[in-house]
Amino acid sequence: MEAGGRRTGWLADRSGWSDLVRPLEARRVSATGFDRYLGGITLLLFLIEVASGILLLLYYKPDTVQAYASVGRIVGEIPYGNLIRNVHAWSSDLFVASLGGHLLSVVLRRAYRAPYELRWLSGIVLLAIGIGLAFTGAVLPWSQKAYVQARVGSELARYVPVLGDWLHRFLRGGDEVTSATLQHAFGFHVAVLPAALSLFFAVHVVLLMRKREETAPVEGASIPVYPDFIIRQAAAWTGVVVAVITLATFSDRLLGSPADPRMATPSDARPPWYFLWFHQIVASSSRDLLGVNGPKFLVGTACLLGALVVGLPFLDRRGWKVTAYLALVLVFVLVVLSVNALS
Amino acid sequence: MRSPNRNAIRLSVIALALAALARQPDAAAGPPVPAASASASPASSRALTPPLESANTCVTCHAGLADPKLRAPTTEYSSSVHRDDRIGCVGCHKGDPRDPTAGAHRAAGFLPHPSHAEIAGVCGGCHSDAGFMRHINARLPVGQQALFNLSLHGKLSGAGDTMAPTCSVCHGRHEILPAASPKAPVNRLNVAKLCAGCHADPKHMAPYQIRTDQFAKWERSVHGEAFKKGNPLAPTCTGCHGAHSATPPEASSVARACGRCHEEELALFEQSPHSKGFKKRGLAPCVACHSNHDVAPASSLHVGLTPDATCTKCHSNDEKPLKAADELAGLLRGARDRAAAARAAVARAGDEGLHISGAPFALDQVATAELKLRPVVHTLDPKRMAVAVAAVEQAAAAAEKLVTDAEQGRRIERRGYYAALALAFLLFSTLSLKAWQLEGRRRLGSP
Amino acid sequence: MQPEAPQLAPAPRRDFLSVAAGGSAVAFAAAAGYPVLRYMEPRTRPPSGPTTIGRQEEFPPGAARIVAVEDRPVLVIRGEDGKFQAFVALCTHLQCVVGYSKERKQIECGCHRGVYNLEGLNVAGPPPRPLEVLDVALRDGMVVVSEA
Repeated sequence: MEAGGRRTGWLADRSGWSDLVRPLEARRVSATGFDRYLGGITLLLFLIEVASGILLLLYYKPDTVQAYASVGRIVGEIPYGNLIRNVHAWSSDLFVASLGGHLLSVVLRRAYRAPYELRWLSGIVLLAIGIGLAFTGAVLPWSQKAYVQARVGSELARYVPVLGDWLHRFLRGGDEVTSATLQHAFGFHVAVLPAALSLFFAVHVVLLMRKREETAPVEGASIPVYPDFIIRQAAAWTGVVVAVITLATFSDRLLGSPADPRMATPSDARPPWYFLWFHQIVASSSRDLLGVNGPKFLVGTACLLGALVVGLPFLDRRGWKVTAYLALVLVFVLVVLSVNALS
Repeated sequence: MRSPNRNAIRLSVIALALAALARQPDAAAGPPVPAASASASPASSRALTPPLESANTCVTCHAGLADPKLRAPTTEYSSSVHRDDRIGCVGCHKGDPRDPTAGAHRAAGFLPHPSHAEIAGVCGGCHSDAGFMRHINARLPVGQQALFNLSLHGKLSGAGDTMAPTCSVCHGRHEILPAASPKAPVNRLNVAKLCAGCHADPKHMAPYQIRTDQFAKWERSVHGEAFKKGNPLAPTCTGCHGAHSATPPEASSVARACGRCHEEELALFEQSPHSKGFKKRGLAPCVACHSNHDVAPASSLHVGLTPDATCTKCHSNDEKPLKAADELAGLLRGARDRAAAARAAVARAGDEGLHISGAPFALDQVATAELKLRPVVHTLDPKRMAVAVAAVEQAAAAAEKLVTDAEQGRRIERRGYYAALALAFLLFSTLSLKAWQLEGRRRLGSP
Repeated sequence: MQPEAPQLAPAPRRDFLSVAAGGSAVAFAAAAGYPVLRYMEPRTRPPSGPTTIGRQEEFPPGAARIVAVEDRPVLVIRGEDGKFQAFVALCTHLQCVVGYSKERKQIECGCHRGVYNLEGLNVAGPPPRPLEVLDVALRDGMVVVSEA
């Protein structure tokens, strides 16, 4: 069945692996740039999140009375519980980082242009789901930090144009931050959003398999997807795993104090790092901006920016160089704002 | 059938109230009142609404008098616990409240200035009458006057000593507040200062030849410190001496005062050789070692043979007691060191970032066992102390075991990490080599 | 029916690097699996100390009651003579909860007709062992059970 001279293995013959990878052998991708591996790295981090999240589910209790104590038990009592929680928390940060990196890479390579609009859109949906996972996950320990984050995050959502009020109540699971908020966040974090992410990821990958691409010219030196690209991807995965276990072993993700609605929020309260830039703008803006209520203006502007990002393949059909420069400037501004927020 | 009756009562009450209100304007207009009535706040005039049956006409005149001495009681009274229609001015001063003129003063028994010796009787007139007090506040005790008469304060002031306090000296006169009010001078928060007002004043105390340093000593005592920190159990003057029945304590009774709170210490003390020995020599239990007003924290007292130890203050070369003291001191030191070592171990684990969920509980157990050491000192029995020390050691060992277990777990985790790291490195190298090999082969043009 | 097996590749040449990569991947997975297995392992609970189950008067002579002690059912029987006996009320056959039969003066398991006598000995049916016996003590009128 195999062409002469093909080297296959015992396992490959019996599992049908050879048949599975044959289309990948024919397909070639560019060999340049580390950023080509970010998509695969994001996938791996998602899988680590799923695995460590399932493990946390064994001991976590989604209840305002018990949640904090159950996480405390995972951290302090269950063997390797602290390690597994650290893995979950660190991978989530790396997940967001690698997703952002992947997005930037696509923009800089102008890979959003036709005929890849659907890939771009599905990627944006994945980003939105990823942010939703991070938000809901941060609520679950029901620590003071989680409580404040749930309150502020859902309050900001109120200013989203048109959908604001609905989103505000939806995120809180009611009018106030209560046990319903926690229960809601839990359901979305462990079931709804991971399922949605898997679905859209499948769509994202199926779109990668577009037939026409096989014949599309590849810039620069190229390598076959299988085995070359996959092996390099596996090496990159190994590096990511090392990063995750190193961070998880040596840097604890502290739980903080339990949620207490009567506690005044300390002045060093900060959102997760990927929202620091927004925190900095909100914290340093005045009550009214251009005659509009401050948060309303800022959230509205952020939504407009988001809409521009979503519509990028349609706004920039030709792939102007200026788009890439604009993206770099934007990233630079966000980094500067975030660094300012930390000081 | 009952509701119409009730309605009828309600209606008549409203009618009476209206009538009373209607009467007020003429009452205010009646006597010669210039500016003063305008300055009387509406709140106080409402407070002074006369009882439905008879108007409190004292206020209508006195509020407008020019002499502040005669006017002041009307405002002082308005914030008093006695601001009650059933008491009024006449509750104490008698007179005829229905007469809105100076004629009220001519009624039988009118008492404008009760003398120092009379005051206890005036207050007692109501406060010793259980039948009356029940209608005002059924929870208030009625025996204060009887207790006061038994106290030295009562005996002296009853005998005409105006320096000795009577009711009004502590409670106030027209402005009396309930003892539960934090503003009341007799409230737990203020009573020590109230006592000190006389007892810390050398001039006031000179005729009685009583020391005046008790308040200052108490303030720096363990009791005073605890009081300042807001401990609701910390005793002030009345905690030990009583209030109305205050009598000077004596050596024979002081242990009862201390033992009211320090029950276990007293019980153990009474089983000790000190109990008999103190009695024989007329030494006051508790006070002989701990002092009274300036009770120091127990942690500042030492058992042992050193010159600053409490034991050596009395025992200079009695062989048997000193041997026991030495043994006790050794046992205590051992237990303290052991507990400190356990605490240090847990703190070290915390610094290392180890999460030990059982650690706070284990340290609580250590602290509890340690707390039980002090009462046992009163037995002066090294054997009993050894039992208490063993409990501390056991609790400390349990806490330390948690730490060593966690540290062991951490070591295994770290070893596992380095093993995984080595494997990952191996994997990474083989994958890189493989990629390099594939690329090389392709360059050479091999399939 | 296939007379020959040339469907398979002829003895493939082992590529050292592939084997090494696969081997270290498997070894790494095993190393990562150890903490996961330890994490999932159920907690063991230290044996419970003496447990007070009620006042003496709550157990009339000649009657039995099942009380819960640390998540396990415990059968407490008070004989006509006022003597207490306590067993872990789990049948040694398949862990059904056993009950006391007043008429037949024996302990019975409803699941598979196991029978124990009042000493807890398995006398009939499938149970392979006697019931686990607990110590009963009376302290200040309270009934206290503890593991023997």
